[in-house]
Amino acid sequence: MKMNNGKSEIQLKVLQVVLQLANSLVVDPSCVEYLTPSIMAAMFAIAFQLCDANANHSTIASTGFATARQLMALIMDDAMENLLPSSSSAGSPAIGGPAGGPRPFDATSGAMPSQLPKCAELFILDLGNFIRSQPADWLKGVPPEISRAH
Amino acid sequence: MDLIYEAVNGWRRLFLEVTVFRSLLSQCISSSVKPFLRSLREDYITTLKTTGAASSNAQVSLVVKIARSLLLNFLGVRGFLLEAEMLVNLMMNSILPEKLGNGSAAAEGRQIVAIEDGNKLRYDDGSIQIIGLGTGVAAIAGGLMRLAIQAGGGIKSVGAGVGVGSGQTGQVGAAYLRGSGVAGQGFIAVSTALPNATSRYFICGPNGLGDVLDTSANSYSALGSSSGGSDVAYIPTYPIAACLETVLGLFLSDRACDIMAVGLGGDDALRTIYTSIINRTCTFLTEALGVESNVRYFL
Repeated sequence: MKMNNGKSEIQLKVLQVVLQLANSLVVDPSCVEYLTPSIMAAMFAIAFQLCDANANHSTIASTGFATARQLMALIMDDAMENLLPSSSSAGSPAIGGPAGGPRPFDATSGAMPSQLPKCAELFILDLGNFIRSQPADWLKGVPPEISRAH
Repeated sequence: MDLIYEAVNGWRRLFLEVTVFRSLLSQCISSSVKPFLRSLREDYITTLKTTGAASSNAQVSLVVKIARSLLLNFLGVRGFLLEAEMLVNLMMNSILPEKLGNGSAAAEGRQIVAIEDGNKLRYDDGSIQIIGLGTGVAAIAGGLMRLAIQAGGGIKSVGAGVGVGSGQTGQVGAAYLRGSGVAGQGFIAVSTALPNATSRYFICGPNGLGDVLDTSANSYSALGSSSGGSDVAYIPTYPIAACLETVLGLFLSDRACDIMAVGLGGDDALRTIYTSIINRTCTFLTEALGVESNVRYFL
């Protein structure tokens, strides 16, 4: 689909579908595996491209940014659930690290059991690239100037 | 930057307790913010002249907000103390006004022109400060912004150029303005005369900190210490206020005591951070309140 030439209604529907699809897949343990890094990268790319404030309606731009925020929340929440023990306290952590117990998947990002925590790491790295006006490593379809519009 | 801020604050435990994400604090997030802190005032002026006060204030707020979040939330993270020291240095560099001897090179302060790998700050006089090696208060306090008085009355950072892009190194721009171009914005008037000379030194406008100043030449002359107000420089209040609030918030937090009590180490870096804050803030307030005209605004 040519995002820049689509009608505003279609673009809004696309954003809604993307978000609904991601939310539906993440809640089902048998389907979350379909949220691969490449799929998530494509979803983020759709949301960021529609954030281009110059070429799109302001409603679409803000909806696109909101969609990107919710996608980020989705992958960060999954990272929290998979990487932090459920017995950890909800309050402020102990100074210098967790109070006790082994930290799962502590060595390398390649050891993560789920693909969404990996997506979270890649997303944070690319946010840093965007801030530095450098090309993205993971979100290859998103030029830095578009992501910096917000 | 909004997304970075939300990620760091919304999922703080992830960055505190998971090694992979903890490393992103230094390698990715802090390293992305530092160039913006270095050129905070220049970027503020540039944005002010092009898009107005709302955009420039929002830009400063976002950058300082991220730095504030990093300092207050992650000061106790292993390996992040050096980054925290760097962030504090950069913000203190934005707070202290420069000291000029009416163009005398000997009285000019150093300006940070680049942030290099290995926690190094390179100044425009060629010197390099390595953060985290116990450099002491004297070395840290040397990073002052520098001014040059132009013949036409404008005031710019030394190095020419107008404005500077975020993240650029080796460039300085118009961090200080007088006259048209930024009319109606809050600026601080500071004296560029030598200390102990007859001078006026303002830290706020006629109606309080951050107040809108009348930027006409006549107004500047009235506030200046010499004929034509040529010894007066104006620096924006908003970035200074934002950075000052952040470093004082860090200073007043109980994180340092917690860190030292647990015995995680890094005592030297913490002492440097807090000593630098005390030293520069005291210098800033002493020089500002040492002038009679400023004192009345605090009564």
